[in-house]
Parts: sequence; structure tokens; C-alpha cells
Amino acid sequence: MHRRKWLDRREFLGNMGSGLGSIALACLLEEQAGAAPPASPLAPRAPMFPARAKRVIQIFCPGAVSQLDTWDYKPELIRLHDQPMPGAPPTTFQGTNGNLMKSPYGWSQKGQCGKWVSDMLPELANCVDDIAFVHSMTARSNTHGPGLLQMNTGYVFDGFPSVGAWVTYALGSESQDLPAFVVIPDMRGMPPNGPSNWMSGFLPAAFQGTAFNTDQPITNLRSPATSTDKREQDMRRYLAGLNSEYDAHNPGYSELAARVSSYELAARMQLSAPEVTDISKESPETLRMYGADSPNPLKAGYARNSILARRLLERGVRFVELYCGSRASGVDGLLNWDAHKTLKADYDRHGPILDQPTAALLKDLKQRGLLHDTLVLWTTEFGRMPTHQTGTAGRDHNPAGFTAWMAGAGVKGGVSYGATDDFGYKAATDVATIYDYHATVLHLLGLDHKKLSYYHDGLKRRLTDVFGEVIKPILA
Amino acid sequence: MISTKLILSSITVSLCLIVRLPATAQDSANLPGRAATLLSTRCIKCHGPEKKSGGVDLSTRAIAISTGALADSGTSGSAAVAAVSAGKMPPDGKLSAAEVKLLRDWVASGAVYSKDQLVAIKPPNKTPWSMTPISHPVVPKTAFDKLSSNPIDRFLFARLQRSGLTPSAPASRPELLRRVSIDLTGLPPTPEAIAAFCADKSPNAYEKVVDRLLASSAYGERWGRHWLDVVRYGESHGYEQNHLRPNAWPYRDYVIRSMNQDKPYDRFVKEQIAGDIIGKGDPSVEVATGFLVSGIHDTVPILTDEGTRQQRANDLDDIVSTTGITFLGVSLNCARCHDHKFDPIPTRDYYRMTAIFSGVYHGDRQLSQRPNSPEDQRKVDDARARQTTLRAARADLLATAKTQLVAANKGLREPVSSVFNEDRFATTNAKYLRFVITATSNGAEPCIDELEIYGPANASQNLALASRGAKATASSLLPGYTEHQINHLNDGKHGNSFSWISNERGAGWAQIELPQAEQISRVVWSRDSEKRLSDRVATAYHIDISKDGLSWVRVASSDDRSVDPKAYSEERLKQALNPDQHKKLEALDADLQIADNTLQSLAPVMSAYCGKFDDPAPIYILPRGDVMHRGDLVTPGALSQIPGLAGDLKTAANSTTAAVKLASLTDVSPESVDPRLQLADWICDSRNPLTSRVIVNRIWERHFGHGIVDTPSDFGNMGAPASHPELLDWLATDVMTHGWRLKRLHRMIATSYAYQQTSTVNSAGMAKDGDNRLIWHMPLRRMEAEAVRDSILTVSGKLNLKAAGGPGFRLFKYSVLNVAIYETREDQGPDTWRRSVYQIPARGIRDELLGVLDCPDSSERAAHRTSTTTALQALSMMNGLFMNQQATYFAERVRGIAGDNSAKQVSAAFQLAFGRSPSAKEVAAARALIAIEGLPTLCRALYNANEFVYY
Repeated sequence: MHRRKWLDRREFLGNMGSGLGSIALACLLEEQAGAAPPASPLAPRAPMFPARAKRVIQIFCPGAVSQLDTWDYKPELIRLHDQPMPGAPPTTFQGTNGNLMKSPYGWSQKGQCGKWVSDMLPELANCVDDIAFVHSMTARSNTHGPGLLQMNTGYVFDGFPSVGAWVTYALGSESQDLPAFVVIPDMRGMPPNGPSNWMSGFLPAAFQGTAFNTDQPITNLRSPATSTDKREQDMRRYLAGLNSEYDAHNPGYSELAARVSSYELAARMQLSAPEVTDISKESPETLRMYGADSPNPLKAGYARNSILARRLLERGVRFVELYCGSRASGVDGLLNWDAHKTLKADYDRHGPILDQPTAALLKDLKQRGLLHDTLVLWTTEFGRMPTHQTGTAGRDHNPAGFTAWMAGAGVKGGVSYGATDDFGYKAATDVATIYDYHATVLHLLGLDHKKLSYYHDGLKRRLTDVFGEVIKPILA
Repeated sequence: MISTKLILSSITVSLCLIVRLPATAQDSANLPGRAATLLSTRCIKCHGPEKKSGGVDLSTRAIAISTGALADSGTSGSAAVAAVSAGKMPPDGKLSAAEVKLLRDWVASGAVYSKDQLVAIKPPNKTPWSMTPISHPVVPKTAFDKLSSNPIDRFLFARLQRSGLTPSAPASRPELLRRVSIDLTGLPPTPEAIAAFCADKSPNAYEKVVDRLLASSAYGERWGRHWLDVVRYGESHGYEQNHLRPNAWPYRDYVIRSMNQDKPYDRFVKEQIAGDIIGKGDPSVEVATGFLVSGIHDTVPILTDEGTRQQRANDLDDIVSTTGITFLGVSLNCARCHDHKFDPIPTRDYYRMTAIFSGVYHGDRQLSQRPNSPEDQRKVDDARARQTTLRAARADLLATAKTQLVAANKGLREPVSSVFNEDRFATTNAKYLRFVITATSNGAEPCIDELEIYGPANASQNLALASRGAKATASSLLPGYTEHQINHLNDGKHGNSFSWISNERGAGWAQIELPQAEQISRVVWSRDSEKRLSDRVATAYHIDISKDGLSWVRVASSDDRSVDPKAYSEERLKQALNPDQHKKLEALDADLQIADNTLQSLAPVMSAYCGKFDDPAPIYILPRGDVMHRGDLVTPGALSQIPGLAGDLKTAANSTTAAVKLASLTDVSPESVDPRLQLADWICDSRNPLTSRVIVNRIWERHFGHGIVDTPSDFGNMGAPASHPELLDWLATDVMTHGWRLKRLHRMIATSYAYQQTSTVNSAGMAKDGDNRLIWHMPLRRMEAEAVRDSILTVSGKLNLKAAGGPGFRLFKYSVLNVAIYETREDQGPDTWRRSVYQIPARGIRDELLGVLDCPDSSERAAHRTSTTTALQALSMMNGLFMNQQATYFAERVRGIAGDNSAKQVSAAFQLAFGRSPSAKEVAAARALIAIEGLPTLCRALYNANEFVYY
């Protein structure tokens, strides 16, 4: 009931006039005095204005997916294949580049909207009428680590809160027995930067992402192997008594009661988390639709994780981040989308892993009536060059232009926003930034990116720094 | 060169000062000028040609009249004067009476414009209270003075009294001892310490406890950790690769040592900024510059110019920002792209500060120990002199070898080139030619872009071309590259994109089979005749020819080619020495070894991650922070806008000479003018009002949970106001006048009445000051992550206090596969049973226990700790392997004390965990649990109790 507590909505929703000092105090919530239950940092909170999206799933393909072999169709690139690129930079991330290189994949028009997509992703190609593509994305770094950080946190440095942390800081969670912000790492391992991608940064630890997938449960979820259910219950009962005695001697400290509640929530989570990760009760049709029956273990693994993502969203988890690909391995393009040398071979491996499960997730959300208030994001850290890398059949990093997309809640389907130049090198029309993308995500969640802030080190920090414009043309 | 911008801003400052003065007779002379300044700073932003708010534009006289803001003459017609007189304008704060009068007088006198067009001028940011000189308040007298004579209490009492509040009763002795022990040392009191304190009836029993705790080495481990939070100390690089920094820990030990020694804070500051200068020859001081480079650093090489510049700018930004925030409580990084929005920190100041650190680079530095005695010093000097002489002699000898080699090269052909090579031989009839490679320039697979054969008949006719019917074969081909193909050897196209690379490191052969046997006399070949790449060059090769492909004749080789002098390795040079010279070299090396040994024993060298120093690089203002653009070149300087303290380091460095003499056995060196040292002096100058206020507040914040200023790293205009500004100034002065000793401050705080109050709340206090900003009681707090873990180990009896300092321990499994990979470590053995401050804080990696308890990630500076309560915390505390392991040890320890008697066990367990005896009811409940589930289960429960983690 006093001292530092959780965020106070009245204040954090944009008390601009009173100076940051008062926000610094007020961004940590005053709980209600008296008998009211202690506020959990993850209690659901209303948005700033009516929201189109209630929850978010962000699919992340680390390694920098080539826009030129997936979504960004460039007839000129095909026509001028093997010619020098006018205005080519002397060097990019790994060095020099050769001539223009058309995609090794064919292209065709799909959906009502007639969107050109590559043959690499045949199932997702059938979903284009639900998708809003942003083809003019730009990033601030041409290096994976900082690139992933920017896509996840808005900053190229370690230490800043991720999108999921910001969203749960603002909105709490609808689920009181699952973590509010769940990260599902690829079964091949962690993405570049590891947990920095879902850190709460300077936001309180309650808002950091909790990582688990169908193979790896939440850390410390299970009771000690040597214990029994009865022992756990006996201990909890004893502990409750011990705490109530202490708390009675210390009236006026609501955080003591909050801590007791957190133990109760933990006990519920021990039951609900194994339930949510157990996909064996899903129908055979569902498992097949996602490709969980695939003989390719990597595809089956990503399919299981995609089903897990849907189950989490159904149960009210606010923000899910689902990875398709892992870290840099020393062999470019092997474990993630970093196709420096042998693009065709790499993407023949990654494409099928991503394609069917992701398409199934979109369809499944739709048929269950979840897509209208679930925002689906597809992201990667930056794009790749239209030229081939000197001495290889791969493409080097390119932060000057790449594609990301959104689908679902409040997003127009079958539209494309912005464009790169004729070769797909630089964003040229309606240039968009990661700040814009984030601003749009927050907007769809009913949050003004200029007002959602947290005081840290002398600054009112935002996900979008001092930048960002909502990309209105893709809003339904 | 002084920029126009600076001139403008100083003009603005002076003019504004004039505007704020009451109008006097002299001032009225320049009415138009003063009115113009006022309009420019307060009105034109909205009422200018761009916005024309309300249709009003005051930028020129004619437009102002035409838009109705001014009448041709006379006050009555001026809408502008009416609006400001009524207080309607400006909307962001009324004009002063003098300013209104100025405008009225100006309009009355004809509203003459001093220039044709007025443009908006941003008024200078106001000087925050924290940058104004420290006041010297008198200790107040209050109604509660009989409770305490401690000046801290007097200031606090005065504030309580004004708010109608009263101080709370004193805490019980066990409560107080637990509080002060955890607060000062991060460890709970032992049952023995509690018994002793409760039994000590002497009037200064508590003061003795405080002194004992402050004198214990655990104090430095606790408060050193607080400091490491503020300065973002980490032991990995961060970013994508995030490799560990194995030599970072000496800085951590330096901090702990300095705290325990009660090193004067000004000295502590100076060492961290310029320890390499003021502590030269003393590694224990030199290592302090670890402060500068304990932040993140990108180790991925970027091959673009922009990328490299950005990385460097980011490193410098981290150093400058951390310096500003840590010592001064100002966020300099806000001024990286534009003048600070709220505080008086122009962009120029940011870059002048950056220039101070422009010679600082991330990396390990070799630190050598200063010799112990003058005699040793002479030996060291002598050894160093000998080293110099010997190294020079050695270099001479090798230079001779080089001359000999060059001479031997005479008569040889030119060295191998990556661009063009020609091998001539006597005209021979052959059908096959094979180019055999036995070594390459970089050891990699050799690359040849074209292999050409010519005969005596036609000097420009390449006989090897595939278009003539010649056929290329090779020993092997590097797979996977369209650019590199065997048939590129004779396709007539040059450059890397049409080349061949073998699949054998440093070896391979390429062969041309001519359509028929022909007269040949010359081979031309290159690695990349387009001159872009120069790796993979064949440096040792021979050319064989054959009529039938079976019997071969060698016609040319690299044996008669000279070696590029740039490529001479030391090994190669040594081979060129004659036997006498060789002996001489061996003798020199032996003598060098002796000198090295002397130095190693008398002045040993250690390696620490405390930055490398180079000559300062030029620093330019980067417009909007863009590394690809350069504005003015700047010289090093400190903040320019602190009243009474110039930012020009030359004028601020009064105390430099004294500091150097104090610090070093040597005389004043040229390094004393190093800008880093001057900045350190500037920060610690007694006229700098920020430094003492900021450190006093940091100490206060960690004792009470709130700072006097609740934004400990932001003392700017947007920071929190001080709850007790007089107290802060009184303490700041006290610290400075008592040699900057922080233990004195701790003692004063810990022995204050306020600190010793009970944690119990009362309704009056809750109603009037729920935040307890006025400190009417001393609230319960949850321990920080490290204190929780260290308490668990203390209670289990496993904490190894002797393993203090040195390399840290890992709470993770570590491997490197290009990037560092951190995985959960499940076997936390005795090597981890050390105080948590010695845990290796890898960036982006949060331990399952420490991380959920709000231990900050060291990627960012942490001014204070948050304290959250989550289900994941509960899961870690209940189920974590470490917790359960320690619960077992805790139970063993209890059994060792109390035997098998469960009542005694409960008593012992409560004493250890909570520092008190259990009530009868508690004994009964605990015994019941032991009876059913055993003692370890009780111990696990006690670790999880609220009482265990709150103090």
C-alpha cells in the first residue's frame, strides 16, 4: 500500500506536463490502501484507446531473410541478371560483391490481390490475401546481433526492453496462470544474442520474456525430482501459515501479500504450463495441417512450436515470440537464414520448415475466430543484397531495404506498403523504419507509442526512441 | 574556431539576462533590440511565418500589423500587448511584469523592429538546481531534538514537523541488527552476533556494531556491488558474439578494495578516469580505468566505413555517457544528436567531453608493478636500458640480414605478383603444360584467373584459349562457387569472377592441353588481373611441359624469383645470417632473456581489461549524431554551463599539479596535462556542485530505499526534486570538508535516529506520506538478489568468505562457436559458494535465481534496483537446484547443532534463518512438518518465507 509498486495507469499513460520527476515516482504503481488485493505487475490493464489487437504473435526468422527470394518481386533483377549493379556499394558486411543475381526460385501471382511471391514458400503464398507487406523496411545495423536487437527492442544496443516487455508492461496479461510474455526458441537453439532479445531491459524483471518450447519446459517449473506431490502440498501449507503470521505482525505492507499470491500463481503455473505444451491432444487433422507429422524433424519441431503458440494465445498470453532458426553457427546459412554463400541450398532447407506450419498457424487462428483480434507479425533483422557475394552464390547483408509483414487484428489483407528500388536494394518509396513498424504494432494494441514510456537514466524512454510514425495505409 | 552557433547562443544568454532585469533608464535606449529578443524567444515559434497560430505572425513589422497583432501606433491597438497583459500568452508561462512593461513601452514608442525579420530562438535551458552552488544551511532546531543530536535527524525532523508527522519508535535490537548487517555487508547477522548485541548494555553498543560492520571486508563486497551496478560492470563484451572478458575482474576487485580502504571519493573518481596517469607503475591503481571500458563493445568486424565509425562512436558514447551519469548525474548522451532538450548541455559539450576520451580503446592492458625499493628501481631501470640497447642491436642485425637478402635477390627475377606474371623459357615443342603450385601467399587454396601460353610465332596469340580448342584440367576445384571453375583457366576472361581455385590448401596444379603440339616459349598468369584481390597467390610453383602427357620437363619455376622485402618473416631473415651473425643473435637473445627475467621478478606485468590508450584522435561534432558527416573539430572540454566553474579544462585544472605530486613518486610529467586527468580534477573540484551531491544521494538511496533525489542518476531538470535539499547540501559539504570519506557518511546515516526507527507503520504517516519520503519510519524491504543468495549460503553454512577476489565463478556453461553460447549450469559446486559479487556477470545472461530477483543485466547502467514479485521467482525459490541443494546443507547444519530433537531443531533453524527464536505456536507447526516431511523440507520452507527475504 505504499512505497515502490507497479505502474500507475493514470500517470504512465502520458502525463507529459508535470516533468519526469513525478513520472519517475508514479510509473511504479501505488497500490490501493486497505483490503484491496495487491496489484500484480501482470494484472490486465486497459489500453490507452480502443484496441484492434488483444494479443500478438511475432514470428522471427533470424539470420536476415532475403526479400529478393521471398516477397519482393523485381522483374528488373531478373532481366539484368549477371549484369553489374548501378550504384552498388564498394563493400558490404563481408566484403565485395559481384553482379546482380536473380532469385533461383520462380515467381507467380497469388490470391485475389495478385501478389507476386516466390515459389520457395508455396503454402504461405496462399495466405497473401490476409497479409500486409511492408517492403520498404530499413534497419540501422548490418550486423546480426545489433540487427536482432533493433527489431526486438528498437535499439541496436543491449539493455533495452523488448517489444513483448513493453506490451506486457502496458497491458499486463489476460492469463493469470501462464507467463504474460512467452518466447518459443527454435529447437536448434537460441537466436543470436540469446535472451537479450526478450529482456525487460530497465523495465522491472516481471516483464521479461519466459522462454520454453515443446521440448524445453520453463526453468524450474517442476518440483524437485526427490519430492512428492504430498510433500509439496504440506510444505506450501506450512509456508502459508508461517507467512500469515509474519504478515500479521507487519500490517501495511501489501508486497508481503503479493509475494504470497505469487506462490499461488506459481503452483497454478506448474499445472497449466505442462498442459499447454502437451500438444498430443490436438486432433490428427490439426497436427497434419501444421506438419507436425513431417519426417523432417526440424519442420515437425517448428510445427509443434507453432501449435504451442496458438495454444498460448488461446489461453490469454499477451505476447508470443516464435523463432524459426537459431544462432550463427560458423557455417553461414546452416542454422538460420544467413545465406552468404549457397543461398539456394540454404533456403531449400529453411523454406519448408517455415512454410507449412506458419501458413497453418494463420489459417488455424482464422478458423478459430482468433485472427480478428490477434496481431501476427513476421519479422527478420534486415535484408540481403540483390548482387551475389564475390566468389559465391549467396547474398550479403543489406539493411537498406527489406520486407516484414503483419496480418490479423486491424490489418488490411492483400496489401503491400512501400517499395525498394528496381533491384530490391534500397527502400525507395514510402521508406519505413523499425520504429514505424513498432509504432504500428503499439497502435493496433491501443497504445500511443509516443506516450508509452518509462523513466530511465534521465530520459523518458520509449520503444520508438524519438522516432516512429504509424503506418496508416495498412490499417483496416 | 568558434562556431556561429556558439556565438549566437552566448548572445542569447546575455540578452536574456538583460530582458529579465527591471527596465532602467539605460536599458530604454535599446528598446527595439530587447523587444526583438523577447519576441524571438517567446513568441515567434508559434507566431512566425510557419505556424501563424491564430492567424498571427509577428516576424516582421508589416506582417504583424497586417495580421492585426500590432496597430500602426499606440498601445490600445495592440492585440499582442493585450494578450500578454491578460496572461493569455504565452501559453507556456506568463511573462514577468518587467517583460510586459517592456513590450508595452516598445509598442508605445512605435514598435520599431531592430531587424527586418525576427526568427525563433530557443531560450536557453534553465540551470537545474543541482548545478547551482552548494548552500551552507544551518542545522535546524526542532521539537524532537531530544531524540537525537545527529544533524541528519534535525533536518528530517524539521520536515516531519512541518508536515505534522512524528518520528516512529526505535526498532528492537534484533530488528535493527538484521537491518544494519544486511544493509552494510549484505549478510544476515549470526546468532552469536545477535546474542552479543542484545547482551551489550554499554551506551555505544550500537555504534560498536556499525564500526565493526564498516571495518569488515564484507562491506566492500556489498557496496562495491552497488557501484558496479551504476557503472554497468560486465565480464562479457555483449552484442552478438558476447565473448567473456577473462581479465575484467581486477577492476571489480579494485572497487571492492577501494571501498574497504575508505579511499577518499575524489581520489576514487580520479583513479577511475585517469588511474593510468596518477598511478603509473602501481597496477592496483592503474587497473581503475577498467571503469572506462567495462561497458559493451562490439567485436564483430564490419567491413564498411560507416560500420567501423559507428562502432567507435558507440564505444565513445558509452564511455562519455557513463562518466556523465555516474559522477555528475547528467545524461550527456541526450546531447549526442542535438542540444539537450531539458538541461543546459549543448551538443558541443558532448563532443568536447568525447574528445577527452578519444584516445581510449577497449582491450587488455599490460600493467607493471613499480619496484619495491630504490635499489630494485635501479635494477629495473638498468634492465630496461639494457633491453632497449639489446633490442636495437638485434634490429640492426636483422636489418643487415635484410640487406644481405636484398643483395642476394639481385639478378633474380621480380617477385611474384597477384596481377601479372610472366615465365619465359627456351622455345620447345609441347602439347601439355602443367602449372604446379607448392605454396601460396596466405596458405589458402591457390587461385589463378587465367593461364596463358604464347609461342615465338605470334606474341599476342594466347595458344591456351578454349576457343582455340585447348582444354583445361586441374588437380581439384573448390566446390560450390560459380565464379571458380576449371574452364575459367582458359576462357579468356580475367578477374576473380572467372577464376579457378583448387581444393587443396597451399597446393594444386592446373593443366592446359593444346589442340596439338606447338612451339611455345612463354606463360602468363595472374591471381586477379583486375587488381581487386591479392590473397591465394601462388608463391612457390614450377611449370612442366610434355609432348605426350607422360614424360615431363621443367621449364620454369619460382626458384629464380626474388621475394618481396615486405614479406620477409623473421625466420627468413635469420636464415640469411652467416654463422657469426647467427651466434651474435643468439647471444643477444640470451641477454634479453636475462633482462626480461629481472623485470618480471622486480616489476611483474599483469594483464587487465582496463583500456588501451593511444594518442587522442580528432573529434568532430557529428550533426544529428551521423557518423558519416563531420561538423566542427572540437578540443577537449568539460561542461560549459555550470555557474562558477568553467568547462575550459585549462582554467579548471588548478589542482592538477598537487594531485600528481600526491599520486606519484615521479615529478610532474607531461601527462599531467592529459585531458582525462584534467577532467577528473574538474569533476572533483570543490566548486563542482554535482559530484558531492550525487554521491551523497547514491549512498543515501541504498540505505533508505529512496534517494533524497529519487532519480540518483539524473540531477537534471527532468529529474526528481530533492525531498530534503538542505540536508543534501549539508551532507555534500560535510563529505567534502572531511576528506571525501564515505565511511563517515555511512556511519552518520546508520547511527541516525531515523535509520534506527521501527518498520511498523502508523496511520498518520500512511495518510500523509504513504511513500515515506519524509522517513517517518524505516520500512521493510526485500533483499537484493545477491543478498538473498548470500544469505542462503550463510544460513546453510556453505558461504566461502575466504574466496574473496580473483577470477569470478560461472553460473553458466560456456562454449564458443563463433558466438558465445551460455547454458544453464546445473552442478553448482563449492566453486560457486562464494559471495555473489564474484559471479561473472555475462551480458544478456540472467541466472535463474539472481535474474528473477531483479539483478540487472550489466548491458545498461542501473541507478537503483527494482523489486518485483513474480511467479517465476517463486518457481526458482521453490524448485531451483541451488535452493534445494542448500536446503539440504541447511538441514545438516541444524542437525549438527541440535541433534535429533525436533524442538531444538526448530529453534536452531529459526535462529539461523530469521535471527530470532520461534514462538510456541511456530514450534508446534514446524515440528509437525518435520514429523511428516523431514527437516530439509522445513529448511526449504524457511528459505522461501517472506521473513527470510525481507529485512
